[in-house]
Amino acid sequence: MSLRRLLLVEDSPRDAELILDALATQHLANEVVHVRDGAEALDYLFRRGSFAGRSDGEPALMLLDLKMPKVDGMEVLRQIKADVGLRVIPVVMMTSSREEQDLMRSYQLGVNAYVVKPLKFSEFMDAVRQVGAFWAILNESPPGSVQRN
Amino acid sequence: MKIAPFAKKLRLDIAIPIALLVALAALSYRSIRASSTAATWVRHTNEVMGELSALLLALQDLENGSRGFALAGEGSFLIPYDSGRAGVPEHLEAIERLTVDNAVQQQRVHRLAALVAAEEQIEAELIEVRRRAGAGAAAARVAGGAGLHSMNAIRELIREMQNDEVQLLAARQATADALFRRLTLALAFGVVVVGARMVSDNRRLQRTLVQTRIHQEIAAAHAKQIGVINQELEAFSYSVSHDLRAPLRHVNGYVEMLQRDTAGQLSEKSARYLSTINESSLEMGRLIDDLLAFSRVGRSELKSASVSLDDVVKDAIRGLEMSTRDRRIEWRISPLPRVIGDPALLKQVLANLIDNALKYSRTRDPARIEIGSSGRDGNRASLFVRDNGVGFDMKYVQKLFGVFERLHAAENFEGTGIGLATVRRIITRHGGRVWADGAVNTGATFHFTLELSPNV
Repeated sequence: MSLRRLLLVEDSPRDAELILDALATQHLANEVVHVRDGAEALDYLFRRGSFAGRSDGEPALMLLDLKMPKVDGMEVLRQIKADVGLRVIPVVMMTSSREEQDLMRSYQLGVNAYVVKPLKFSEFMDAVRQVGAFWAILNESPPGSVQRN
Repeated sequence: MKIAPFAKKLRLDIAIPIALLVALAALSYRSIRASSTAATWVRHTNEVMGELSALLLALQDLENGSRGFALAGEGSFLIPYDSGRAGVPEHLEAIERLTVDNAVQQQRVHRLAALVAAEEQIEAELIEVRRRAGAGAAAARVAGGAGLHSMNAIRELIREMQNDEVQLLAARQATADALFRRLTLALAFGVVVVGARMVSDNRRLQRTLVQTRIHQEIAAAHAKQIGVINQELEAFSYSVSHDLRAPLRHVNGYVEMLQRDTAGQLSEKSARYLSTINESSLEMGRLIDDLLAFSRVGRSELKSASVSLDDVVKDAIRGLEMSTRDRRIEWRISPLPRVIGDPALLKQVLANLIDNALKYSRTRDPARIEIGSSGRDGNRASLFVRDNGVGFDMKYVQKLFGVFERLHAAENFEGTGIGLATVRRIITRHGGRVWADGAVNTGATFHFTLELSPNV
C-alpha cells in the first residue's frame, strides 16, 4: 500500500485531533503536515515564510477546512486552483455544514470533493477514510509528489 | 368589469364638469345667436327708420317745391319737386320690402302709399293750376289748405311706423339682453362650480398623492427592514450551522474516542453515562439541523412549477422506506391533481405528513394510511393525509403546528417537533392553508390546500 503525505489545513485543534486520529486509525497517511490557518497553508504551498526552501515536494492530498481565521479555505482553494503547479493537488473541502452557497462556490473554484463533517464520530471516521482512501490510494499522484514506502 | 370605488368617483368627477361645460357652451351659443340676431334687427330697424325719414324728406322737397313754384312761379322751385318725386317710389318700395314680415306695418305701408299718391296728385295739380290759372288761383289753393291735410296724415303715419319699429327693436334688444344676462349668470355659476370642484379635486389629489407617498415610503422602509432582517437571519443561520455544530462534533468525537480507549475498563454505569452524553449530542445535532432546515424553508426562493402530486407522493414514500420496512401498511392512495408549487418543498410536505402518519400509526397492525383529495375550493385543491394511529385530543390542535411543540412524549415517538411546523410554513408560503382533525386513539387527518395547475 502506497502511503503519501497529506496536508491538513484545520484551525480547530480538536477537529485536527479527531481527523488525525481517524487517519491514524485507518492507516491512510504516514505523514501528515498540519497547518493551522489559510495563511500558513499558502506559505507552505508557495514555500514562503517559515516554509521557504522546503524540499519535500507537493502533498498528495489536501484536507482543507472552510471556516478559518485570516485566510479562509475558499481563498486558499482559489489561489491553489489558479496556480499551474499547484492546481493538480486534489483538494477536499471539509466543512461543518452543507450550506448551499459554500458547496456551489467550492465546486465553481474547482474543489475535488466536498465533505460535511458528520456529527457522529464513527461517521466522521468513515468520511475521512473514504476521502483518504479515494485520493491517496486510488488516484494517480500528481507529479512532483514524494512517494514513500 | 368591476370599477374600483376610486375609479368610479374619478369618472363622476370628470363627468360633472364636462356636463356643466356642455350646458354652458349650449347657452353661450344661444346667447351669441340671439345677440347677433339682435344686431341684425338694429340694422334692419335703422334701415326702416332711414327709409321712412328719407321718404318724408322726399315728400317735403316735393311739397316745398310745388308750393314755391305756386307762389313765386320760379322754375327753379321745380328742381326739388322733381328730385323729391323721383325718390319717392324707391323709398316706398324699400319700406315695403323691409317690413314684409310685419303684417301691421305692411297695412300701414299700403295706407302710406295711398296717402303719398294722393299728396303727389295734390301737388301735381297745384303746379298745373299755377301754370294754367296763374299765381292767384295757386295761392288761393295753397291758402285753402290743399295738401296740408295729406302731408300731416303722412307725417303722422310715418311717426307711427317709426314708433312701432323702435318698440319692436326695444323688445328684441330686451330678449337678447335677458339671454346675455342669463349667460353671464350661468358662466359665473359655472366658473364658481368648476372652480370649487377643481380646488376640492386638487386638494383631494394632493391628499391622495401625499398618502401614496407616505405608503410608498413606509413600504420601502419595511422592505429595507425585511431585507436587513433576512440578511441577519442568513448570517445567523450560517453561523449556527457552522459554529454550533463544531463543539457538538467535538463532544461526540471525544466521547467516542474515550469509549474506544476505555472499552472494557469502565463500570456499566460509567459506560452508560458516556453513551448518554453521546446520544444527547446527536439529539442536539438533529435539533440544529431541523431548525436550520425550517429556517431555510422560510428564506429560500420559491420555485413555481406544475407538479404532479401523484409523483410527489410516490417519491416521498420511496424516501421513507426505512420507516416502512418490516411493517404491514395498508396504503389507500387516490389519484391526486396537478398543482402549482415548488417541487422540492412539496415533496418535503408530503414526506413530513406521511412520516408523521407512519410514526403515530406504528402501534397499529396493519397501519392504514390514506392520501386523497377532498374536493376543491375555487382554484385550490383540498388534500389530506389520514392515519389510523394514536390520534390526538382536539383541544391541543393549536399546538400541532408550532415549532418544537409535541403532543406525545419523545420516549414514545421520536422526533424534534418541527416537521409539522415546516409543513405549515411551506403550505402558507404557497398561499394555502393547513389544518388537522382527529381524536385520541382513532387517528388523525391532516388537510392542506394548494393551487390547482391550470392545465388540468
